[in-house]
Amino acid sequence: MDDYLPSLRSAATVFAQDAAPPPNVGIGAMVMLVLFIAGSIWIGVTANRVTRKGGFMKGFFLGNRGLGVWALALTATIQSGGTFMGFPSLVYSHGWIVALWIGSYMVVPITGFGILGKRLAQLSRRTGAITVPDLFRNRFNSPALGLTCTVFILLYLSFLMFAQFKAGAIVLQLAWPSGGELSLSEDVVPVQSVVYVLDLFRFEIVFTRYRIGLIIFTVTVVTYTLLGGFLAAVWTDLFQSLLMFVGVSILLVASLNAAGGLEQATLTSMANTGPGFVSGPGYIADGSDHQFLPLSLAISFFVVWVWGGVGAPAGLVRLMASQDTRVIRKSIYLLSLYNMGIYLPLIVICICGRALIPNLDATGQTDQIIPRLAILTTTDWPGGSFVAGLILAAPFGAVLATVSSYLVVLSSAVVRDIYQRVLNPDADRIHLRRAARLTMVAAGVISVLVSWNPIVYLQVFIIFSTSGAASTFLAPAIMACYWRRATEAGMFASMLSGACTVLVLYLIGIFSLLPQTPIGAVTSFRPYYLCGMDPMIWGVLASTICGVVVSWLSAPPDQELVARTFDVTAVGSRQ
Amino acid sequence: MFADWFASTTSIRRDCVRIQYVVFVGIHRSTALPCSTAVHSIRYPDMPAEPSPQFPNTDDSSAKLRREASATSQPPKPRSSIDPLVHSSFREALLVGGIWLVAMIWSISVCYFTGYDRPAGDLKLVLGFPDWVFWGIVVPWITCTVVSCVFGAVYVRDGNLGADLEDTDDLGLGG
Repeated sequence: MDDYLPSLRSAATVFAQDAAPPPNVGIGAMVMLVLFIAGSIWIGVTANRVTRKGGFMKGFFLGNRGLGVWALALTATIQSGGTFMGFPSLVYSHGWIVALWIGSYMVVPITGFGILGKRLAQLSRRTGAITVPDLFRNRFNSPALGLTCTVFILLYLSFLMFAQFKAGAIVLQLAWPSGGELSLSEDVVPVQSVVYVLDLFRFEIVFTRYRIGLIIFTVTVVTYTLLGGFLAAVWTDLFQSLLMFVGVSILLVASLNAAGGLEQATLTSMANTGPGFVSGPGYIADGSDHQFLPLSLAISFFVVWVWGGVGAPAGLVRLMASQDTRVIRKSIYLLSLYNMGIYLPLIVICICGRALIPNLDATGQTDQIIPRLAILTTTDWPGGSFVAGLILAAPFGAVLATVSSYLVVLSSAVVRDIYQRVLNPDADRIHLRRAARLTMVAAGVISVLVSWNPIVYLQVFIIFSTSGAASTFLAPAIMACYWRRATEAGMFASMLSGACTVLVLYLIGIFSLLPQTPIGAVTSFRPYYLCGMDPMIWGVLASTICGVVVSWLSAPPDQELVARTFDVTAVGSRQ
Repeated sequence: MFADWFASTTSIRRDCVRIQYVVFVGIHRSTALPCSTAVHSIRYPDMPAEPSPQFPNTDDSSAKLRREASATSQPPKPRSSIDPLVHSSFREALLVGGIWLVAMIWSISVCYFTGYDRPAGDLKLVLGFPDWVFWGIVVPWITCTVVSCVFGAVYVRDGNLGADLEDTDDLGLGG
């Protein structure tokens, strides 16, 4: 920890002279983004009118279970700031090996819907669950279990959200017009992740383009989510997903054109870096023995992205909101085609980026590769800044969509599972709506404060949250859906053991309590890689074993409750 | 056009059900999966020959299988009460798990054995991709996309998700 104390000086004074200057960009990019923001808020207002029909809770937090194919499939929750900032940053830094790191996304659509989709949708209807904590509470008739879920959801989604806010701010920072009356002071440069936590006590009031962007982003996403709830999050997801596809397609063409083709881009980027850029375990800039993706981590991430997605609370809620099984079925192939059209092109784009903008890693600004590339490759186009704005709308949209989804899940956990069930069971519709809005505003304010100084490698926060959430919820969700013998005690044991395993491994890594294996991303916020594996492997293993063993050792569940959730019901009867 | 094509795949889907019955029963008799406590209580020959009226989308192939199996098995036992959607979901989940495993083994094996610690002079490009990326990531990704489309269009069975609970729950809270 003492190593970080000298870094408590202002980030601007320490690093300002090393910052890569932001690219020149015209007014067009900002105009496009403003139009995009206006469109999102309009969708939020429209969704608000729809959610006023019927019950507030089911309408605001679950869209009255009316998700169709396009809305369910093109959930931009999967594509987030990590997709357009974190993941490209890794491709830029470490080369083609990151294709293997993200390769498991080839089966994410089929696993995301095929493992739990139908059964979870049915179970949520039989139990009347609106939220994930609801599901566990009603399945096992245990308010304590529901409250435990709520606490973990708040923890993991908070980390995910903080990372996304930085990504959204960066897009607006780079889209800010250069020169003239709109010019601002030089940008805040990223600092080490541990240091910026300590920096909260020395709050800087210097407004830079990044911080202006952060505030605009926060106001936008909180406003439209606050107005329209779940439906606003889903509809803007859909709108932004389509924009993302268009943006990535345009950028793919522009990047390949500027780099002279993929073959030339590969050769140029290898010349700018070294042979490690085109082979495993990946390129490391400082030439050390650090390995980005050894075999153990390659296996780990093929597990993390797939099973982390299956157990993600935001994804579980989407499945609960689907209309019927045909929607789930069609979503599988729609999302498969969509994913292939997003991730493979992004890898190609970032390889081109390394060839065209070779020195971003020297200043720790690799998260900016996509926005910078969008601006660079469209500079000479007619109306280039407008095209850049359209492309920038892709990562901006991904981040907006992700944050809005997380805000809904966070808010639902607080309002439904804490406020309504514990603090004020007599709350009426007006009080519930007010509580939901206050929660979202508070989450936005906290996120601004935490993101005031940006972290390096936002992807590591995403990995921590994904690993933690999967370790906590994956095994319990599968057991709750398919195992009659699962008990309340087993679920507790499963969740707590999974969460504790991941938390302990991260704490060991962050505070260097054990000698670290030099693998994975180069950052201070890193876990201890036990046997070279990501903590999620151990978390899910511990969660599964504890869940099974404790369930077997505890008293069998109430058979009537089990029959209600597993057996054939008479048509039209209530469970 | 798509509806006609889908209707034409009915016989393919019925064959898939027969295959999955054999595999499914084999897996649960040879393993000690936790869910087998529920599954072993299922006796396919014992389910009614007629499809349940509340699940009009299920086909009659399972009824045929039951009649065929009953010719050589023990006398019928009382009807299982487990919802058919639980069964179909579990079968599909097992298959999806298998697809994931195959994809992981293929991708990691090809990338590791042909792409790790490779000298720059050995670099070969296929359509601009390093050859290990092309065969280890691009080709399996396209394959998985095709498999996912077929899985979603042909293999996954529709079922009744059931009626939603009314707005008030056991706490009498507003929905």
